[in-house]
Amino acid sequence: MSAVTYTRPPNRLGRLLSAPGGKRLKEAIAAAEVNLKGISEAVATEMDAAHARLREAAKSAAEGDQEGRAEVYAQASAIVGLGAVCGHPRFGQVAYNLCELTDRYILADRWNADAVSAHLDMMVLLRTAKLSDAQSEAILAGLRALVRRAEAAPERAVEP
Amino acid sequence: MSNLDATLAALASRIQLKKAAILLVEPSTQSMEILAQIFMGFGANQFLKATTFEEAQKASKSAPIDLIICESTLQPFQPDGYEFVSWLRRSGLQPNAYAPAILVSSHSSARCVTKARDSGAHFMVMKPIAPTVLLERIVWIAQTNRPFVSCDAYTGPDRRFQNLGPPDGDGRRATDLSADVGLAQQPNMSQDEIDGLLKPAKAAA
Repeated sequence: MSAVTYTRPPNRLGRLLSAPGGKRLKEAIAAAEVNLKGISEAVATEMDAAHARLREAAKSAAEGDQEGRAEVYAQASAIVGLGAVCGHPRFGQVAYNLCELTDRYILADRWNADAVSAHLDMMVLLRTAKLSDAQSEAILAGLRALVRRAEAAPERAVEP
Repeated sequence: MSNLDATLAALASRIQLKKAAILLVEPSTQSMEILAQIFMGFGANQFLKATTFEEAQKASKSAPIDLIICESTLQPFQPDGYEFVSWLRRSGLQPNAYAPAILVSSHSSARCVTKARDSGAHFMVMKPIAPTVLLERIVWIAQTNRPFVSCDAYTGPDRRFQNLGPPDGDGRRATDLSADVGLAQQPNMSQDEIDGLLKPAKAAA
């Protein structure tokens, strides 16, 4: 049986956090949210740039490039964290769904370029069109159905 | 929270992050900026920033770190955030091997969460990062100060949150007590006997 050791290291973070002064929790959270609003335009620009990179990666992934597939996942991951910060949470939700989909494809070593392309197009639609909550939710529900289908039935790669 | 440090109870209302050295590991420039802005809002101003596994290693060797926020996906086909935390826990670097680490991730599949737990991270926080959630986790880590466990298969904070006793109620060690309490072997103590043992009057004086 392997040896197990327990250590209780000094609580350095606790000591620092509880030092005199500082901010009330509500003030700290409010200040963080104000700071995030201050960078929302730059975040939106980066989100659009990441979407363009994602489209490029999706092209090479559709041609069978393994690195392209990993890049699709990486760029979709990057977008997940940006959408809500710049006021486009649905954009981020579609990116999250794309992460779910491509993660399954990469693990199963298969790819469906049409399903990936549908996500990219819906991102553009959610970014540019003024859709109601019900319409946006219907789009997301359709994309989630693609993930469930990918999980349930293995698909063969769709060659362009 | 049985091991809550009473001196840290005040953290529920106020935090001081001015002197905390925070390592931010994030490959995306804009996501790094988001993290930095959140922590500046919290009052922090000492950051070490890294965008790759190698930079994170270098930063963790350079100075004592009080808190690590690490993106789980760094570069495709390169060591990721899970591997960085795992490496740090086994690195023997003092005091950074014990530094609180929060992994942030865009994707919360069961595989990712299991990897985060097994890497030795304290928490995993999902993107988009909500300042409220992040701060709650930081305060919780500071208040509980979980002990570190080290063995062949795992090095990191104690992952057990519940004490459910031995499996099926039967311990395998000779010193484990039976789950059955059984009948009392001696008569119960009277209140006078209890008072005599604890001396409450003396304590009150």
